[in-house]
Amino acid sequence: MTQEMETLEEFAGQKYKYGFVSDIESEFAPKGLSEDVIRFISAKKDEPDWMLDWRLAAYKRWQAMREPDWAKLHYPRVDFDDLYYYAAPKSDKTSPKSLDEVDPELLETYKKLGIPLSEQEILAGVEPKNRVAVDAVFDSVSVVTTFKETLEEAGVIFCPISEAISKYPELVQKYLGTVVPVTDNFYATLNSAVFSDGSFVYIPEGVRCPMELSTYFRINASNTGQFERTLIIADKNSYVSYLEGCTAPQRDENQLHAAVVELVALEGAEIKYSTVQNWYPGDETGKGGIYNFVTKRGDCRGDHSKISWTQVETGSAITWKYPSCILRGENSQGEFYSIAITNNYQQADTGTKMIHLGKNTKSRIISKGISAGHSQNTYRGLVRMHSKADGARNFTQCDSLLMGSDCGAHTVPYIESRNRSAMIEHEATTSKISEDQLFYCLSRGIDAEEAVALIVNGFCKDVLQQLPMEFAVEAQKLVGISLEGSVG
Amino acid sequence: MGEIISIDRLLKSASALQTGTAPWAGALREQGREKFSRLGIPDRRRESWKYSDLALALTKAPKGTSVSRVPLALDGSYLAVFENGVFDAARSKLPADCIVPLAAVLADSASPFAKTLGQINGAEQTGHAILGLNTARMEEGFVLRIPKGETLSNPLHIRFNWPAEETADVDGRHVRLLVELEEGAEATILETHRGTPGFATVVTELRLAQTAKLTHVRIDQLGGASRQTAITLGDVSKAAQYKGFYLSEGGHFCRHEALFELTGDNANVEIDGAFLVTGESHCDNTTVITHAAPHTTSRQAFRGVLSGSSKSAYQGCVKVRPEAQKTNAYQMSRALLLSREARIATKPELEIFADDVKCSHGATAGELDMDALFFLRTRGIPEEEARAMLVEAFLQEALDTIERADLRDVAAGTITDWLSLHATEVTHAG
Repeated sequence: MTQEMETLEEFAGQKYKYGFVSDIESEFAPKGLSEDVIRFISAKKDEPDWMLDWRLAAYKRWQAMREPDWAKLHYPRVDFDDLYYYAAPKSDKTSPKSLDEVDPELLETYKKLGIPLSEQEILAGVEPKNRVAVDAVFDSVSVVTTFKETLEEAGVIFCPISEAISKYPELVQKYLGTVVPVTDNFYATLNSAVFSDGSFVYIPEGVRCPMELSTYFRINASNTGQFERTLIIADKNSYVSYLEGCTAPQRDENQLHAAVVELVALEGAEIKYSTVQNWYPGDETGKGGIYNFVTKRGDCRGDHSKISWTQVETGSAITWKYPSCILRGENSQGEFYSIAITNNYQQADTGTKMIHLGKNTKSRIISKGISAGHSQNTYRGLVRMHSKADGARNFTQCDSLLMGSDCGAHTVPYIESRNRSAMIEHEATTSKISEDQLFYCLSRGIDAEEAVALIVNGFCKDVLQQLPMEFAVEAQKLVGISLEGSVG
Repeated sequence: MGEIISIDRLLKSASALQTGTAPWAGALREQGREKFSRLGIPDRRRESWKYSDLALALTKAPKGTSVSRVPLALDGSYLAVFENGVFDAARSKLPADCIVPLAAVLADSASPFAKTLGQINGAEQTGHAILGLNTARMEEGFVLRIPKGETLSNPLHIRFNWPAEETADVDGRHVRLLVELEEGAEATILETHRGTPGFATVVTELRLAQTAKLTHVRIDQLGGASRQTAITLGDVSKAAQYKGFYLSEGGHFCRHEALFELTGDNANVEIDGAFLVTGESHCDNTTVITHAAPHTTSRQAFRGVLSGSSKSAYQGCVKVRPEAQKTNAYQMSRALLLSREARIATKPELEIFADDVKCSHGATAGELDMDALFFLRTRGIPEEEARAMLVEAFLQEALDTIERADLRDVAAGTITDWLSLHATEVTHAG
């Protein structure tokens, strides 16, 4: 065995850094899913009747739906009756007015999660230099929302969606479910029925959101599926950058996670949505880990609007996620930058859909898939040019890197054109890490693990560059950690 | 034509075919029957038929006009003629001693072909409804076997003359061919289809033993109302080589699948294709190339010229099994859309389970390059002529891959013919 391989294997054996369970009393809905559970969730949140009706309609629809099986994913069937659909920290009715009122365990959790210092300062009430607003979702219910004032000054609404339902019902009713309809797919419909909480963002016309908005999602109580619902609306000529980061405690049973994210960009608006997903991927033997079935979709409703998705997916046992853009407005733009890393027995089936409806719409897809260990990594994407999408353009590049002989890398792109003047370019490559590059680094005295990190980061550069500063550093580290050690 | 074609109707005569067949062939046929009745006629809910809904095509009355085309001929070749799916010995000129009619093979209980017929690329045969149907109903066809180290002296031209639209048989014609090239054997095959089959399935199984070499040129010149689905299955073993060129003009439903498995070291498959589709025609090129041994290489390049309100699809899948280290696979698909209504769907798929591989694919779709058009016009070439030149040049790159000049001429002639028949669509922006 070569020296590199040893270091690599050592690395592959690394334990999940964020595996811990914090003990905070939770309030559960009864196990399983029924109309009563939905009524319970809705009542817990003091929701208006229209919201309850919406949930119940979704539940009715969901009962008639079948779990999709087309993805290249293999996992034991999820028993939807063996899950808790609602768990909230006990303190949800008396939201803390100051840091002292926040459960110390929660603060401890944030510390362990490595929430950036600036955000801890926010939590501590210190005026920070680099401002980031955090709407922390701790097991389904937003506990702390900061920076409200600064945002309010700008007219930006950034609050838990449960709050938005009671405070801004007209906005929620106008946009909720218009991008991802209730009937969209099995998991999105389930989410519509039982969603617990999530973020709501509204950027008024002409406003450039004064700070980057950020949510740390975290699954905590054992056996609780978490069903976030995020809705972001960027009104005319506004701009917002939203960061989503995830880590989860280590546990043995698989956990279900089915989030829905809806983005609406009106005329001239731009939404940048960045994700770093680092949930518990299961142990070296493939035991445990999060099941992540997410529906994310953005609607470029207005002319000259832009939606950009950037994701770094390193966690979860199963990833089923296709952040998409509907390019409705003329000259609208969609972007998808993705790094998906799988190791051990992880499986990821991820990609994007770019639906070009309007004239001169543009989209760009850059996907980097890296598989190591016994993992399977699939890029699945759709580019569709509708007949009215004159002059539309798409460029797609999907590259896969294989490390070790037991993993798989798959590419399943669908390219459909119904418009002659639409130009589509697609390219994909699959290869293993270059021995020449590795040798070069080693000959310059760089050790094996560092060399691999260097090469992989180079491979992912196009995507990493798209991340906001706060995330870029974390993501770069994550890429290195997830992969060093897997070269065979 | 136009009636609803059901599974039962398609299988109606299958049991009658059992008389006189050897037990092994009877069992094979029965398996096929069972498979087809279980899976049914493929429709778009089945992933690999997403862009080609056969069930729908069989229910809908076919539309489309046919232009009578000059039969293709290759000077000095052997000839095997199929008239409406029935082998016509009188008009054929077969090479001596290497062709056995399918009926004779199926009747022979000790046939040496029992272990290959219906067995080539078994992984892709499982779950394939149309292969089931063809196996259940196969009656006409032949087995071509070239012994070790020998070369078929002249190309074999397999000419399928399907009838005119009015006399087409909707119950289906199902032809089966098996080509076995023993170690080091070489052959060249030209397969041409003309006319308007009501519904035809043509399955060709190829077994290339070590270092065997097969050149296969396939030309579909079917009428606009034709319904055909053809499948070429291949087992390419150590250092053997398959070189294919597929040219298709589409039809009401026109699909060709190339399902190859590279089973020996250094096996090589190269497929180039061109499709020219207009009117309301449909054309589907589907390939699955499975690399099952180390150091194997494959290359695919398809080019499509689409006009009218035609619908085309290219689905190319490269599978690399864990043992197939050092695989090198390349796929390319380019579509030129000449009209407003033409549609193309491309799905270049990679499924890779080995790490030391080089696999890539590229796909483009769009209209004629405006810069190139402008350049030609600045040189005084009228727009129509310039357009025609660019389309020809686009296709020429595919033609250049055919090594034999006489075969290249046949393919080039077909393209020229098509371009002149559809000159207006080609030279005018629709």
